[in-house]
Amino acid sequence: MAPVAPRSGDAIFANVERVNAELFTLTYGAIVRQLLTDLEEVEEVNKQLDQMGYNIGIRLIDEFLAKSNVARCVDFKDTAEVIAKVGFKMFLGVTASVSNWDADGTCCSIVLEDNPLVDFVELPDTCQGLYYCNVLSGVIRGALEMVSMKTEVTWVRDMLRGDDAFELQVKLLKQVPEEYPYKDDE
Amino acid sequence: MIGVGKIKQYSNVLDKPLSKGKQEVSLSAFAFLFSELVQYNQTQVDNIAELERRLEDAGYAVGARVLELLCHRDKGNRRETRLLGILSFVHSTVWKVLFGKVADSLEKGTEHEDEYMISEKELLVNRFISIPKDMGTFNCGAFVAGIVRGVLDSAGFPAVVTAHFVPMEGQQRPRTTILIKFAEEVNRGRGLVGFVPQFPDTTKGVGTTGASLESLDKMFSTLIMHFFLNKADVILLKHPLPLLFLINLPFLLSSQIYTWAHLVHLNME
Repeated sequence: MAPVAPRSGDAIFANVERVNAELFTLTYGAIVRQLLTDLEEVEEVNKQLDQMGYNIGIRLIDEFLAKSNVARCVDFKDTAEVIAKVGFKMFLGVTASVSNWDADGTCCSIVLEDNPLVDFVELPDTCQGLYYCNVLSGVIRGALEMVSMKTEVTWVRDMLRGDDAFELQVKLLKQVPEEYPYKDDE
Repeated sequence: MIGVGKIKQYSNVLDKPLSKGKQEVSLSAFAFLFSELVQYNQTQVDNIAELERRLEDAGYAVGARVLELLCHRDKGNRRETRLLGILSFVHSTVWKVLFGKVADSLEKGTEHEDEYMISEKELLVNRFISIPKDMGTFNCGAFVAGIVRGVLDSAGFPAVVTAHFVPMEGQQRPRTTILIKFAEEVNRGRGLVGFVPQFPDTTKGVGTTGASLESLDKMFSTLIMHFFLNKADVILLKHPLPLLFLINLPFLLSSQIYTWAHLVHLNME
């Protein structure tokens, strides 16, 4: 069988099953509120959201690879583009753009034009330290770790904090070489 | 839309125009998120009942907001005040918005008058969930039960809502039934609805100068109309009515008309 051509984010999104974004938004809101009640400390909530995102990311990458037919990315620049153009579109139905590359091409920004997580949301004074969308950074970190890239993902701009866009900084820490042979007993 | 330009910033979330609700995300994105919700709550509890209660609480928060949103956007700020009205609102409108389809069925319980059931062959949240044997009757539909309870409760119909698996003949997977048991006050014949008419302060000058009889007539006919249309048990009046009028309308006396003063008094007792 001939290799299948990679599909665009739009094409994939048009073909997958979808749900109303409001159900998604409100459910996420319910999660954040539950965490705030349980953990009390905003810092802890940030951590937990990141952890949840990580858990999602390490599973989500499988679906991503299965459905997108993307070829192996040649470099980190390629990876970032694929995340922004295919990844975000495929799961959240929104597109992101990549900018602010540093000189050695290991650090960039992913800027979100639209973010379904934050509809209806306003941060009260008590939650000013909250990274409401921290789950997203966890997802990216988790997914990239599964394809042998250790990254650090941090928020640079957040509209809920009064910035003009959502900007995630993705920094490639190191590329973990794949190890052979895999241990059979694990 | 790509490149439409930067999203406009609003200083206040309320200034932002309400979305049409047509936006979508992939089902897997929701499924992943929901699975995290369940897994996180699993770490916070030590029994199934507790886990279901926590999922229900999360759902309740969603339901209360869905009611607000839908009433505002789709129904021009009108709310259902009748029991069957709100049930069909949940069964069709809410279901259609949240899950993309009307629920499979809405039935009245055969054993108890006050029970209703919404059934779904394959509930969205249960699509990708299999329950381990040792977790018995646990049903992630508790989240949806919570949504239903949130909608009903916020609309003034308190109820106990639970989710159950019901095995179906010839089907591998059981269907999920959301069982709604209304609270006692809802069942006393009609829905308990407080109706607060916002009439202008026309009562001040009754009998002397002030409001013409015509305007008062109009006010009463509106009031009576609402009373019968909404089948409310209690009508709350913003201002104490002059006695004169109640005498003129003796049949109104027999129904339950409370003024704020009465209610405050009742609450004190």
